[in-house]
Amino acid sequence: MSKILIVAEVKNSEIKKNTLELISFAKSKGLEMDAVLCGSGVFGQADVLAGQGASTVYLGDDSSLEIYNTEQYTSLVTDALQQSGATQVWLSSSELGRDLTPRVAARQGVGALSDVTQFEVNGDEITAQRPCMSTKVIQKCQFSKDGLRVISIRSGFFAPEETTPVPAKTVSLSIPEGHKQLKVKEVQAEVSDEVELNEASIIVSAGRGVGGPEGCDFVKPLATELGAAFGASRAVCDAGWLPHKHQVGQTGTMVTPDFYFALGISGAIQHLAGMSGSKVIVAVNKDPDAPIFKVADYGIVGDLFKAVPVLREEVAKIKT
Amino acid sequence: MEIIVAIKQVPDVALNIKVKDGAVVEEGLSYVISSWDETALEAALQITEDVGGEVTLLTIGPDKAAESLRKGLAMGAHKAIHVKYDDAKKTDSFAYAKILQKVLEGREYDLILTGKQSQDTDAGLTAPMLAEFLDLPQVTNIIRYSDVSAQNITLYRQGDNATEVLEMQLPGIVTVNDSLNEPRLASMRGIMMAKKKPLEEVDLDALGVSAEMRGAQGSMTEVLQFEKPESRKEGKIFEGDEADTVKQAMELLVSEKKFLA
Amino acid sequence: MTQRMWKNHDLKKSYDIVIIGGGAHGLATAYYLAKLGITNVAVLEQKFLGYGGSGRNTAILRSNYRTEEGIKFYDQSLVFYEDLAGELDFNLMFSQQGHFTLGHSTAALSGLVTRAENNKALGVDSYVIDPQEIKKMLPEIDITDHPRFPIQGALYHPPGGIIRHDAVVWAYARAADRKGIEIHQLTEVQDIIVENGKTTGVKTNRGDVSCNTVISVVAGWSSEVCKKVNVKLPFVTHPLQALVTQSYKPWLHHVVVSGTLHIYLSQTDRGELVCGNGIDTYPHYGMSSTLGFLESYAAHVLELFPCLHNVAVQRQWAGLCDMTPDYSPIISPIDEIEGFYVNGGWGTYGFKAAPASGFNTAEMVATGKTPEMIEPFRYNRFAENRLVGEKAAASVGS
Repeated sequence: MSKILIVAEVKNSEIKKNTLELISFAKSKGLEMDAVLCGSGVFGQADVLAGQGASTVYLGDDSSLEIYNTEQYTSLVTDALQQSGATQVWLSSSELGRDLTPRVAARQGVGALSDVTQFEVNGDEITAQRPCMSTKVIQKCQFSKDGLRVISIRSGFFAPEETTPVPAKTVSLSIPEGHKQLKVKEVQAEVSDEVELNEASIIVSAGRGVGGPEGCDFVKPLATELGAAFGASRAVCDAGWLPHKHQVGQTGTMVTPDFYFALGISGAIQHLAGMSGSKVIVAVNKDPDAPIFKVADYGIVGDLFKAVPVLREEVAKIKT
Repeated sequence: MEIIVAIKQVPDVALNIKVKDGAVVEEGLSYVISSWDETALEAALQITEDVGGEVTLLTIGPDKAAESLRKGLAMGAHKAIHVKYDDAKKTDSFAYAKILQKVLEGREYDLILTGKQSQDTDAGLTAPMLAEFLDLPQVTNIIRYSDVSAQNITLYRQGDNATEVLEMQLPGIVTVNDSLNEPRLASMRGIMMAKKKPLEEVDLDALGVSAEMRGAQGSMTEVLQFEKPESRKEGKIFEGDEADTVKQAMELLVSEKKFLA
Repeated sequence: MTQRMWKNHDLKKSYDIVIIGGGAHGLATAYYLAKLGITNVAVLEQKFLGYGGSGRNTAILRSNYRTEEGIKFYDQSLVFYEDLAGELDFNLMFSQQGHFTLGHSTAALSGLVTRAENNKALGVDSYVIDPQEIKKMLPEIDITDHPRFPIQGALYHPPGGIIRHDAVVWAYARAADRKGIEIHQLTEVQDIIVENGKTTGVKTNRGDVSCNTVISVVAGWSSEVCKKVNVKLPFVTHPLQALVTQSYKPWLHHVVVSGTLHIYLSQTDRGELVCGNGIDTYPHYGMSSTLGFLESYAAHVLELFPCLHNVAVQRQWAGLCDMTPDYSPIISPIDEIEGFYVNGGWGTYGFKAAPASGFNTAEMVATGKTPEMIEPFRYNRFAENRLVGEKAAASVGS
């Protein structure tokens, strides 16, 4: 009997959207599933997972887990896996998932499929599609041997159902040791309620065309007003106009939002590889030959400094 | 500090990649060092320039992969290990990690550096799997490092919403993001010197890597076929006064795509 | 709307003349045809303008050839180049900085002396100088007896120099476009239609086009085009590799060529060194760069200029060269097929010839008579044993 273990992720004390997608998708397929939830002070979120359909929620709740670290998380997922008897582990291909997926698989002595964008499940047979070669090619792949299935899936592949939390059946996991050779010194993060790139359904991104940090400040209100994540091209992050966490593309975050606004982004291959899976792309750029217009659904040839104020006006109108 | 930089020779993905009958068309491909691995090599060179030690390149691949090793040597690596291997097409990350484990057993190193993923598969699985098999700590996707000593290195990992700063006691495995540095170009002298640097060839049979560990037999996953992604439908281009064009585009965004509905 | 240097057109059903190949030669031919009043012409380029040799050469211009036919022809081209920026109203950045062909042996020197004498007789400025004089103009060069092949002298050619090769392509394209010629990129000629020994059209990926004249101006791909009409010409295509270094302050103020070492180099206005080699020894249509080329180039250039040790290689590339047995081009009507002309066999020496090549080809097609200047380059010279042997002056060994 196949059974899924979903590795849940939390941000600002809320279950992340990608996790909800995974559970909601499993439920829509009528699959039996458990979840494992790790973090500090996250037990309250177990009910959300249960509400979505997780039978048992394995909890690793400890102050030492506030910051993700490979070793503790791998041990907790392994422990949950043994107790749950799951035959598949599904993770998000967030930065956490990218780090954790291969380690979990290797500990079980199995392979993994990472960064999957679409997949079909039939018992424990999984056929997955994943982009490769800078998204210039799609691989159709599967597991070739029996055993545990470990996959990580990109966000935006499924629209999660809205559900109400129900009291969860939880099992507390004992807290393992971290790797003796690794010590977390600190986490450098601005405290923010900004929408994360890989969670966002709308992304507003700034490119070299914004001209400098002031240009970023000029564009940002549009993101805020839309409730969108604020992204950027590599040029912007390398120049230090915005921190690296804003970077969209293969070097930064691969995104697939419903709406992507590319402002002053010419569309380098790395950037296109990271965002061309967006459902709708709107681009503003001065250069009519910019590669971004090749992927844009709506391409506005023009000056972003003139376009952004109009965009903001229009958004305000639509919202009222 | 003894650093091993694991590199992979991959098709240059900046060029056009064609697919025919479910496979990537070999003709016209040009092979290069995966760009993230070049970043790893640059980091290794900078570290050894600071604290001393040697950089050893390691690759698994066919005869032509030696060219990538010699390019890495021309950039400044001290020596190279070429694990001769022709089954690349059917080999997944799991099998590569297992073979690498065999290759590295009994070798001395303080740090293994490699790219966060390779440009051909974009999978990013091999390095953490290898870390597990060698029972080493891993830090992936680093954008900076500091405080390098013979025993420790401080690593700045780009996490989902924050930079995680970790101190790693060596040995360990680290994968790099290409915002870490700009890899150097080989100089004329470097290109000349590369020919004289040691390039060790490793035979998998001699190493005891059985047929069961190689190719499809040693792999846990398989690629059924390759396809080109669906190309996006041609969009609408608006030219003219931004006050008008933005309005037109937004109206269509709302009416056609249900924006903010 | 941004103003383009040339317009896009729908492909018409019919033209008077179809030129296959949107490189410097094809575009120059189109431009000079238009100057003769012939404008119902389409230039069909399978990739983009300057994709082939025109954008891959090392941009060296000179006319110090060996044979009378060669010297006259390349000198006509150089004279065209001297006035081309003005004529086409486009900055081509032509720098007539002087050109050295180094001799590393007595035999090589005597060959250079012959060239100097032939050049002088035909009014081309070129003369042999000794190592001390070389050192005065190239202070960084090693003229000691330390290298394997010490420098024994050089043929110095003051009017030789370098130009911006892309600009030449764009300038001809814009000028041809302004005169009414149609330029079609991404238009691949898949077949040439010949009926009863007459050219009647071409098949392309964008549809069929009828025309009674087709000019093949495709250099490295010449054999492939000629195959379509079953014409066998003695072209053998070899790759030729080149590289460019990072930028450095200006230090090399002349073009330097060494046949013995198979290399040539010059410094661009931006400070990069542009470096070329002899052709790869194997016939091939691949344009991949090899490490072997880098290694041999590095070894050889360091013999000339030891100071280049730390120079970093930015990028390398390759192009295709359609070599002929005598290292001279073929510019000729093909007798067996009315209305089919070949302009090819440009080997490693085509870029410098573009203006004269285009000018004479246009004249030949417009008048139906082969101008005297290019009469020696007819294709039947091989059958008739009237070769124009330029190997010693056109190549760097191999």
